[in-house]
Amino acid sequence: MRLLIVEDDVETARYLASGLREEGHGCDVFHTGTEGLSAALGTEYDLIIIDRMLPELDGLSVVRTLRAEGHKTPVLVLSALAQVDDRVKGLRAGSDDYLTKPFAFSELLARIDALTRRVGGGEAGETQLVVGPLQLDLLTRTATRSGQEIPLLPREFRILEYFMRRAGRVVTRTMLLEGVWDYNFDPQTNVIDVHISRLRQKIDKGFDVPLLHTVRGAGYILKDGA
Amino acid sequence: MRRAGIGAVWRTTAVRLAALFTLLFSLLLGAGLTAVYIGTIGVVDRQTDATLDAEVRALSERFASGGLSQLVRAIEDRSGRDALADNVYLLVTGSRRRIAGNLSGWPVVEPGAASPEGWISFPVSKRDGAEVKDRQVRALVFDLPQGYRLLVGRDSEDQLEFRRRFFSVVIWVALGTVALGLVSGLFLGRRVLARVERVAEAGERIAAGNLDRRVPVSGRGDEFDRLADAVNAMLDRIEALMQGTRVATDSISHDVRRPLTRVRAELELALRRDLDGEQAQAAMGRALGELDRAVGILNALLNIARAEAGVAGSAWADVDLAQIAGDAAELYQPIAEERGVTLTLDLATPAQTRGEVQLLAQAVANLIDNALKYAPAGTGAVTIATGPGPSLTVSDNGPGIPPEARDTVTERFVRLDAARGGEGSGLGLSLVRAVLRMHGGTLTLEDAQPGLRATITLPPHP
Ligand SMILES: Nc1ncnc2c1ncn2[C@@H]1O[C@H](COP(=O)(O)OP(=O)(O)O)[C@@H](O)[C@H]1O
Ligand SMILES: [Mg+2]
Repeated sequence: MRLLIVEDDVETARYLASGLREEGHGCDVFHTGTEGLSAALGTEYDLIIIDRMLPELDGLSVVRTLRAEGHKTPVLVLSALAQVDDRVKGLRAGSDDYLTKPFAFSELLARIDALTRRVGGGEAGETQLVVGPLQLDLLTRTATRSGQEIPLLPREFRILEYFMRRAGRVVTRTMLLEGVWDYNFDPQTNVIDVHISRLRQKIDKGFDVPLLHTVRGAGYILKDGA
Repeated sequence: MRRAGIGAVWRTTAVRLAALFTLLFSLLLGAGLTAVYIGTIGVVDRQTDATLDAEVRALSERFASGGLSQLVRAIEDRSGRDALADNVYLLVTGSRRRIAGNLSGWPVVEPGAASPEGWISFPVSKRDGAEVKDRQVRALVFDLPQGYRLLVGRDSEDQLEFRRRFFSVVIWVALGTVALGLVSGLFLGRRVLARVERVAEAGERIAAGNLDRRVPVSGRGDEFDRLADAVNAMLDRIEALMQGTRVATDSISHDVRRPLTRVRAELELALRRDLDGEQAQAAMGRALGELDRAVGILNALLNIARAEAGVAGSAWADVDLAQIAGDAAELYQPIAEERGVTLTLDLATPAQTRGEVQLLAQAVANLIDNALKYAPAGTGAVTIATGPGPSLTVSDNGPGIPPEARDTVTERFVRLDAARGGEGSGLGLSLVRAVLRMHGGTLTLEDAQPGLRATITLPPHP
């Protein structure tokens, strides 16, 4: 994928670019808002990663201009500001995701993945999500594995739905908190892990092939055993 | 007081107040004097005019009934040919020839000076002993049939003199009022404002860095003492906050340094020992964990600082504490089960308020987190209930917090069971308190016998 990185801190930009290149992405790096904007307007990128505070033109203004020009490229805003309504402001300006510095690289990768690949089962009228032997009926709110019904609590259903729409991709704890609970903060205790282990009990226990895996230092992934 | 030109003087409150009051007082005085004028000179003027009018009417009736001879006799009777009399009469023919009266000839009146009703005013020279005086006469002119003209007048010099005196008195009074008003206003204003000046001076000195200075209090208990007391209370609070900031900064450096020290140690050891792949991985994993911990502490501190400085913002919305509590409880439900703590919800009472959902949710989550953490494993019982206020109560049956510690536990980094170790950074309750302060609410910690009952109360939904 072709990524545009706009980040004024040279060290951070370098580390971002080298990390993403190792993942097989092509990266263009710019250090000011105006350079970043003209690059984004001139080239087709799959994703733009932009720092919120930039010289000349700040990140949110760049995003606003891009959106006003009709560009739909997904934008991930990086920010040193961790405040609750900053995230809201960032999303309101037209960006697609907001990540607070410092962040884990695995978190960044998971979010890039989530932004550049269309979320599964997004079509209107779709009522079934399928991942391998796992089936989720969105109308009857029931889950089955290999035809066997799995009783789920409403929240567990929503977690599983979140995973199934992102099957094969890493989902981080913060993504779950934001996506399933709508929380922009970190609960002190690692509650997410407990929720996941319960869900895992329900969908994997008694079956040979586990579907819900832990990715060390990153989060979780739901994938067909193959 | 700085003095730099008229503009600067005008800007002082003392001058403006004095000017304003002088103006007001002058207006009042003007209204009063006008009333006096109308009530005295005005009345006399009108009476004179009425008398002259009646006289003219009587004489013209005499003319109508008795002809010219009767009129002449009547005039002669009344004027007595006395040139010094106060009343003036003159009857002339159509060609202005004098027939009767105590005036030697038709007066010279400036053209246009006569009013349409026939009122005129003219000077008459009168001999008073050796002196000859010019005296002003006010008269009414009346045209009789056959071209005769009648003039009846009255010496108005005394009235005029009274009027002149009256106006000179008015002018002196007005000048005196303005002068006295300005001077006394300035004097009083300066005296009063001098005390304000002292407050301002103290403020400037404090702003310059003299934080332990206070505004002098006179002890009279007046408004200025109240101002000084309020300013001093504010200064006390600022000093306490500064003190708090200093303590917090110390704790921050201490608490952030701890994980950083461990990171450093892990990495340095890994380097020194030239660890093999797997061991190095493990060491770096631990280092990352500690770094995350340091970042977590900083983020929590930022959140607290922001909530403490916070005011109602764009992110405020209508929120239901019951729903927030329900969601948070649901998030913690598996943890409760894992620890063998029963979680009971009583969220029937609606608890509508306004605020920042994320911060309120985090505050509620922190309270539940604590309750689950400190309730006894296996036999713990935690109750979350909404109440009137609106309020939300989280109670547990753990060790509770002793009364003397209930104030300090909400300070940053304060942990009662620090000696026992365990998870936590001592920032949870600080955030709760800051969030509530931001929302105009309160956090109360009470004894749940046994355990802790934490209640947050928020302003009702407007
Ligand atoms: N429910 C509770 N029961 C007993 N003690 C409590 C409770 N909640 C808080 N405390 C005490 O108050 C301290 C501060 O709490 P908090 O600010 O949440 O920090 P932390 O939970 O990270 O230790 C805790 O360390 C604990 O000693
Ligand atoms: Mg706590």
